[in-house]
Amino acid sequence: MGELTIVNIQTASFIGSISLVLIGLVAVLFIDNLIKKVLGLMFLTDGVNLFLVALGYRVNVPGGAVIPIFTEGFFKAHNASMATAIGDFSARAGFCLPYALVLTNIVIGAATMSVVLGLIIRLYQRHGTLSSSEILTERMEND
Amino acid sequence: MISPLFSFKDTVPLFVVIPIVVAVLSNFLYKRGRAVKVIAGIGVICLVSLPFLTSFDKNYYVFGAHPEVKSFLERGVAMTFNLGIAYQYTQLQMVILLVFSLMAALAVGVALTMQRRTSGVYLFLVLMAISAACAVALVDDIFNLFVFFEICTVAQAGIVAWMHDDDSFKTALKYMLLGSVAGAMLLLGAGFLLGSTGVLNISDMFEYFTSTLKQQDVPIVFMGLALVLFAWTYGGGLPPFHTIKSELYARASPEAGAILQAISKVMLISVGIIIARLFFWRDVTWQSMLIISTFAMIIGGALAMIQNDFRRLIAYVAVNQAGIVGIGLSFFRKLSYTPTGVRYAWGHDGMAFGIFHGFNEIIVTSALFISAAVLYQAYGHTRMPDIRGLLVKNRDFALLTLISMLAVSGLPPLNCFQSEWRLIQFAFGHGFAAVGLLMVVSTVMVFFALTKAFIMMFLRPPEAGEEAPALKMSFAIALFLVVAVGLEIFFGLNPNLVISPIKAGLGVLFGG
Repeated sequence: MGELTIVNIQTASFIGSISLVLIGLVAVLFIDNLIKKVLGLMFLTDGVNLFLVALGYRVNVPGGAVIPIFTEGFFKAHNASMATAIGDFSARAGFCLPYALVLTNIVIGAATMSVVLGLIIRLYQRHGTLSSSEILTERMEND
Repeated sequence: MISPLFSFKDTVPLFVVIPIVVAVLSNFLYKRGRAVKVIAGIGVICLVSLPFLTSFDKNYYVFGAHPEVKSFLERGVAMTFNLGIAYQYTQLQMVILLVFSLMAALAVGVALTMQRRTSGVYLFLVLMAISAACAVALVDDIFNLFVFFEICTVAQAGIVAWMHDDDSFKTALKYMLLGSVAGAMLLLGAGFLLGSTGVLNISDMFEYFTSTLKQQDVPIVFMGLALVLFAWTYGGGLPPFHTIKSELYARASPEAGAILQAISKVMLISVGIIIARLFFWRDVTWQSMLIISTFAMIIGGALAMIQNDFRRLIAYVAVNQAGIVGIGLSFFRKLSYTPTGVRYAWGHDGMAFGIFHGFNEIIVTSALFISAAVLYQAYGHTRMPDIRGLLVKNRDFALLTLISMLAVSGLPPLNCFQSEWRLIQFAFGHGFAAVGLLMVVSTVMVFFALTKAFIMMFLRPPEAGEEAPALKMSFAIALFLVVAVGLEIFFGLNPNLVISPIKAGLGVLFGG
């Protein structure tokens, strides 16, 4: 039952992440309000983050999966040699690499969003509107 | 075989570190114009000298590692575990970074002389973009590729927004919105690849796909291909992003436009090589790259012909040339697997010619953007109908600009002729006659567009009674144009000086 729950969580996470990505794409491409476009971008980024987190799940592990931190407690609980404990740990631990990617992506996302919002503020001050169709569709006089 | 003058093995990360350090110092000293100029000058000289100092015999470097990992290693638990950033530095990277750093350094020099008061913030943005582009060329890790891709996007948008006019803000915002989408797609693609191979290191993935015949045709890998291709089109300015990319070049100050287009070419080549290494085993990869690039070539050439603004014209020429580079990059094809690796049906020649064209294009288009900078400085705009009689105002400038125009049009004996001629020959010789024919047509379109521009701006006599502004070139601009024209002629006469190291680098990256 436990394994089934984990599989369902992972599958649900993948479906949720793809949904977030699609919602975000639709918002960025088709919604007129610039702030809502930014919210769409955040949906998109969160969808990618959720996908990566879901990627790190360990499914179908006898004895259940563990978080990928090798602690003294884990070693003592096994009451065995270091090699045995490490072997068991590597068989049960979640894949920790995607979590590191998510952390970095959150930081990068915060930086890019702040730049985007700064530009939107400046354009709002000049145009008095947040409508992308009014602000962004003007073209160069040479076109 | 080209060898560097010295053999420092640990200077590879300095390609990334030096611009960042100079950028931070420039930003910190933003009120002290003279200090900023000195620091930036020293920094770019160091950057240009790096390709001559750095050895590529090791090919693979790991930069930076966490102390905890070291103590972890001492217990003998994970002997090969390393958290450093992996860089791949072959003769190919040396050639690309040499020309990129040279053009970027000269453009920074022009920027320093064109502004009345040197802006540390502006230099910070330019140097961060240069650093990120160098990192993209070097990096051997698909996640760090995403990180530097995002840094480059933000820095490029900042360079355009620095112009402080309404159109620049709009362009920067559009570029950021699309860049955020492209970055997310690249990361999602990296996630798909991580899920299917278990690693993020590009060389490891290449080994995995080369040695493992199973699990290759799974849909998840094709999703990865599609998403990384999406990011490639954005980074390189190929359709559907050609419009925003050309707008980015045109809205930035002209000397920044030179750097921006050079960055785009570095990203186009670097990410294109990564795509070829990761997805070489399916024909759909080179087919997709070929179709997108051919489309870019035609669209760029056609739109260049109808422009009335010189910066805009060059921007579309840059898109057209990006298409030609992309066509060259798509000329690889897996033939069969052998016990020693993969055998390629077409060898590395086509890719080498494409990269050689990218190398040439960085020089030529940068020179044209600097020519636009001279006009912008004199007239405050680059609208061709309003500019005339330049030939009588400054013959040296007219000659230098004309040579760059002829070079990008593919006329002998200049450098772009050598690369385009080889690419066209390759296309006709390997069953791509239609593509070869389209390349000829696009060359004619570019020649027409630039000839029209030269006639309008240089050969039309000034109107009677017109008070024409003085057309003077600063020392930095004259140096840039003379160096660029010298390189155009030199590499036009000695193309193998570039092609040989590129082929050697491709041999290391692809094997065989």
